[in-house]
Amino acid sequence: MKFPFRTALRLLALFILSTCLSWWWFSGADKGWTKTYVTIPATDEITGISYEVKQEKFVPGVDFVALGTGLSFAVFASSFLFSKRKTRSL
Amino acid sequence: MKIQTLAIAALLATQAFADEVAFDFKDPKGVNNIVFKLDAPLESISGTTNGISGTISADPAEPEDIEGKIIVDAKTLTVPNPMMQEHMLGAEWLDTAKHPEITFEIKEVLNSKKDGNAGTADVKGVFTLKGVSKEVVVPVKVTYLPGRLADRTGGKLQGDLLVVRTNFQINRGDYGIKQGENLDKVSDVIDISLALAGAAPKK
Repeated sequence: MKFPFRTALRLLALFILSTCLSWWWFSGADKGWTKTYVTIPATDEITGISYEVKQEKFVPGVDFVALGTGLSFAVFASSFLFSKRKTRSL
Repeated sequence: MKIQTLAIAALLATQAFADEVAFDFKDPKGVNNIVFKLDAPLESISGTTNGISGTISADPAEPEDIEGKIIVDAKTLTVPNPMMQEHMLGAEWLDTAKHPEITFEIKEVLNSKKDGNAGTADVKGVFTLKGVSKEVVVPVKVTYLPGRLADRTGGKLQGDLLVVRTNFQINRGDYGIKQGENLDKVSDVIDISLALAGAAPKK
């Protein structure tokens, strides 16, 4: 099966949008900014001080969704630059 | 007679400072921490730092007799979003290249109350941020843990611990940090929480 370039771009736009949204959703749908670390609470036994241990983890936020949606729309819009496949008239 | 008087004065002075212990707040374990929170109408920002050092000299028997300075390496302030962090440390906000330290220097201890090895007090000191120094009074809770340094170092060092906790607020505008700007996203009021343990190894 061979797609015309226009259709391929639209499928790519759909793939970007769905990947971005599902990544954000399954990472906890964080409504804040994208984070590159998360913190785990801990307590020092001797002093009783509560502190946070940093753990490197990518948590996509609303800026990630906005970027993915924007990129998806840009790819979709660019598909209009390519003409439809011409159908031969009989 | 004069020599005798001088000798007695020297002896009394030695006695007066004999019980003062210097606690070092540099913490290789990374437990000592400062949390800062800014709650603006559109955005809530929370960050931390472990880049804390400084010394406090205290006499556990005399809670009012305390002096010292806590220093924070401004470049170690972190927020989870890398772009926000870059802006925070940049020239427009904290300008850490020009002002690499945030400090609190103790000047006076007021209203101290002692309860066993713990105590509370209002500490008057000079808080310096982005090169601007202002006098502030912060409520402090102090816990003295004699002989507990060994537990923390696996027996490598003998000595005492001093745990200091405080929560206070400052206004970023007072320290020349974009006064009156971006208030919908970056609150003017900054909530600061400190929980620090200082160590005084026995020589």
